[in-house]
Amino acid sequence: MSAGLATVYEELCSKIGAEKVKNDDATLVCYGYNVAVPWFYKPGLVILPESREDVVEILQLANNNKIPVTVMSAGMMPIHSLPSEGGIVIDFRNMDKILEINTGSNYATVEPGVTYADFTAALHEKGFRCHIPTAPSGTSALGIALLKPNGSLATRQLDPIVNVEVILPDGTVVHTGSAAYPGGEPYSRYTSYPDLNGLFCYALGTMGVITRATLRIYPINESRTIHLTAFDNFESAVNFVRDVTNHNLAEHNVIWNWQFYRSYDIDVPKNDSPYVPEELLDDPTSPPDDLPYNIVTTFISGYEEMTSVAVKVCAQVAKKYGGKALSMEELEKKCPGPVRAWKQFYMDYHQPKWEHNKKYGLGLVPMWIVQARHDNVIEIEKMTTKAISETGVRPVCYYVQPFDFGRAMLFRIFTFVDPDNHELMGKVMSTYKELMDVALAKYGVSAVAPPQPLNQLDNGYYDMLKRIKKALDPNNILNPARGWFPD
Amino acid sequence: MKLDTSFDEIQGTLLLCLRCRECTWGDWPNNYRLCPIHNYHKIYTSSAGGIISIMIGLSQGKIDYNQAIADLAYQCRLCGFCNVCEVIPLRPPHNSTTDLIRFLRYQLVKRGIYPGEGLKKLHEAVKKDSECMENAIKSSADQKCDYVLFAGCRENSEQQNIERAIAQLLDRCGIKADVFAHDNYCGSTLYDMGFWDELNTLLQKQSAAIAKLRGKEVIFTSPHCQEFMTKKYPTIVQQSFEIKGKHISEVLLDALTSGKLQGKNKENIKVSYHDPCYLGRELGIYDAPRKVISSLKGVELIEMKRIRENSYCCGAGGSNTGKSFPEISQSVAKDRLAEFKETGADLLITACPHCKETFQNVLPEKEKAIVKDISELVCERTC
Repeated sequence: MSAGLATVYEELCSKIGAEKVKNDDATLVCYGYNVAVPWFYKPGLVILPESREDVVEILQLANNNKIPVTVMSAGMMPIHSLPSEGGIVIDFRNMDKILEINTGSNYATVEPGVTYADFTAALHEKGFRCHIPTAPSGTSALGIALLKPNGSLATRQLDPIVNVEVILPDGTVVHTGSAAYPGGEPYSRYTSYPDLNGLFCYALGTMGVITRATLRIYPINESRTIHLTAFDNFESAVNFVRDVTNHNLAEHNVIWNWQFYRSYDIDVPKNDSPYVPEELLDDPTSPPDDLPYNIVTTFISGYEEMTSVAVKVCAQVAKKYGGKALSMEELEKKCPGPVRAWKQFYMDYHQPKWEHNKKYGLGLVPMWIVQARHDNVIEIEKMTTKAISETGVRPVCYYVQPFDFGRAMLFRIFTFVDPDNHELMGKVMSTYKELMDVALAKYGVSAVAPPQPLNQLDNGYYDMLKRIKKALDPNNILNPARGWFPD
Repeated sequence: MKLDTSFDEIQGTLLLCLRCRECTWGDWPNNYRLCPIHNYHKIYTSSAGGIISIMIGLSQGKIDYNQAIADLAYQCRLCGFCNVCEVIPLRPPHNSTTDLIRFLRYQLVKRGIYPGEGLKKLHEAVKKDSECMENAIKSSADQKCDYVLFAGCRENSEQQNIERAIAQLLDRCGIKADVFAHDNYCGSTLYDMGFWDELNTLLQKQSAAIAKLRGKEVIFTSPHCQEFMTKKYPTIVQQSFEIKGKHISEVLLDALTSGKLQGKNKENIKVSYHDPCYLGRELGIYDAPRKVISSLKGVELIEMKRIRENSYCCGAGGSNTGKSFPEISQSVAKDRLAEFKETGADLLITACPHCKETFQNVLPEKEKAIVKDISELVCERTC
C-alpha cells in the first residue's frame, strides 16, 4: 500500500468507520474484476459508503492524496468502470434508499444502490413504472439511467434523468436543475440557466460522483396492448415505425430480426461447448417461409377508447408499408418465447430475469451498437447483417428502436461466439471494427459499443470537455482507467 | 461434481459469471435478500459471485490461497439459494454454484488452510476415524424389508428424539424398515466440508453396503443425506443404480392420506413451517410437509413471508458448517426466528434435524420447545 493510500485508509477508518473500508486481499481481488473479466486491476481499497457525507470524506481524502476513484452503483460493475491499480473502488450497494416517489409530478429520487428490481416493485405499488433496461434486475436503476440509450420504453424521451446530486473531488456538493434553487425541489431538469445534468450523463464517473438522482417515472395506464406487425424487409419496418412514431400513436416500438426473436425459444443444453441449434444455422438474411424477416412490436397504452382506435390505425399504417398485422396467439403457436418476453416487458414493465445472458451456452456475446438517422439505419442493417453473416457465426441477432420521437434510432447487433474459438472471435471483432469505420465515415453514426475514442471526436468538443474535466477534477482521480483524459 | 475435477475444467464456467447479483435475492416483486452471508457482510465479496471472482483470481494467479479466502468459503451457509443462477450450470462438470464453493473448500483443505482450529481438528479426527466408519458400516444389518430407514448422523440428543418419533410413527403405520446402519454416514458432511479425499475413501468402503439398497425404498430423516445419496451419488460414485429415496414427510403424508395414521383430538394450535434448504431447493419437496401439517386435527398452518423457493436459511450451513462461524449462524437463525414470531404461531415446524438444532441453539432454554421436527409434531397428534 502506498503512503498516500495508507493515510487515506487510516483517516477514512476514523472518519466514516472502519467497517466501511475494506483492504483485505480477497475483497481487493474480488473487486479487481469487472463484468468483462479478462481485465484485472487490483484496487487498494474498497469502500462502502452509507451517506453523502461519507462520499464527501472519501473524495476529499482521495483528491488530497491523488488516489484514483472508480464507482460501482448497485453491484454489476460495467465495462466502463475500470478499477485503477492501487486505487479506490466505491461500492454504493449500501446506499440503496428510494428517497421519494412523487406520483403527482411523475418523478422519484433514488440513491445509486437502488436496484432496478426494487425500484420497479416500489413503483408498481403506486401504479407507476420507470425506464426498462436490457439488463439484469440487480443493476442500479440510476446507473442504467445514466447510460441513456440502454434504457428502453422511451420513444418519447431519450433520457430518464431529471436531476442529480453530485460530489466533486474537492467535496463540493452540486444539485442540478430545479433542485439547485433554494426550495431544492427536483421536479424539472431545465431552468433559466445552463443544464448541468448532461455533464454527468454517460460521464461514467469521470466528472463527479453521483450520490442521488431524480428520475422520470410514468403512470401505468389502464389499457395496454402490444400490436405486432410482420414485415418481409427491414426498410418497410423502419418506415412503419417512423410513421407511427411521428403520429404519436405508440409509447414504444422495437424492430426485431427473426434470428433474435426466434432465439427466445432456444433451450440451450448443458454441454461442454457452446451449441447452435439447427433452426438458427440458416442464413440470417433468409428466414424460413413461416417466419417474418422482421416483427415490429408497437406498444400502445392509455384510456381504453384511445388504445382500441390506435390499434386499428396501426393496422392501417402497417398495410401502407406492406406489413401484416400478426396476432399474439398466432405467433405464440410458432414462437412462444418472444411472446412471453414481450408480455413481461410491456404488460408487466419488468423482466425478472435477464433472459439472453442465459443463452451464454451458445457462447459469449460480442456486440455492436450505434445510433443513427433512420435512413442510415436502413443501410447499416444491410451492411452489418451481410458482413456478420459472412463470418459464418450464428445466430445473428439485432433489434432497433427509435428515441426522441424517432430523431435517432438505436441499432444493436450481436451474435454468440464460442469463447474457446479464438479465431472466430477475432474474426468477428475485426469485422465489427471494419463495420464501425465504415459506419462512422459513411453513415454519421454515434457509436455506443465499441465506443469511439473520445479524442477522435470533434476537436472543439473534446477540448472543451478536457477543460471542464481539468476544472472539476484537476488531479484526474475520477475513473482515470477509462482512459478518456490521459494526463 | 466429480471428486477429481480440476480447476482447468471449471475455468470456462467461472468466466460466465456476470456479477448480476441474481445469486443474492429472490423472486420479484418481493426481491427478498436471501444470501445469508451477503446479508451479514453487505459486500460483494461475500456472495456466490464474489467467491467466483476470487476463484478466477486463484486460477489466474492474481491471489494465493490464504486464510481470508478460507474464512469466506466456509462462511457460506451452502443454503443453495445461489443455485438460482442459470448460467453457471451451463458448462459441466459441476452443476451448481454451491458445487463450485465446495470445490474451493477442497482446494483449501488440500493446502492445509482451514477457517479455524475447529475445522482443522475435525479434519484430523475424520482422517483418524475412517476405521470407525468402516465398523459402523459393518454393523449394518442385512436388509430384509422393502424399506430401509436412513436416519442420519446421531450428533445429538435432539436427533435421537426425532429418530424415536419416527420409529413410533413407522410402527403405527405398519411399515417395517431395516435401519441402514447405526450412526449412518452418507458422506454429505465430508462433501460439504471439502474433505473430498476422505469422502473418496468412505465411499469406496461403503460401496458394498450401498449396493444392498438396490430395489429398496430408502426413508430419509435428513434432507442432506437424501439429497446427497439420491442426487450426488450418481455423479460422484458413478453407481449403476438409482437410490429410491423418500423423505419422512412424504411417508407421513401417504400414511395420513391412506388412513394408516389417524389424527388425535388435541388443543388447537397455530404452527409455521420452515422450508429446510436441502429439502426444498435441492429436492423440490415443498408441499408434502405442508399437507401433513394441514391434515392434523386442530393445527392451523400460518406461513412466514419467505417460503418455498424464496425461503431463508436457518443458519446451520450445509451439514452444519455453522459450527465454524457461530456468529453468522446465530445471526441468520435469529433473523429467521424473528420472521417466525411475526406470524404469531405457537410452534415452528421444520423437517431437518440441522434446522431444529440451529434454531434451538439461539433460543433461551424455556423457549426451545417451540421448535419441533415434523415427525415429532405428527407423533404427538396421531395414533
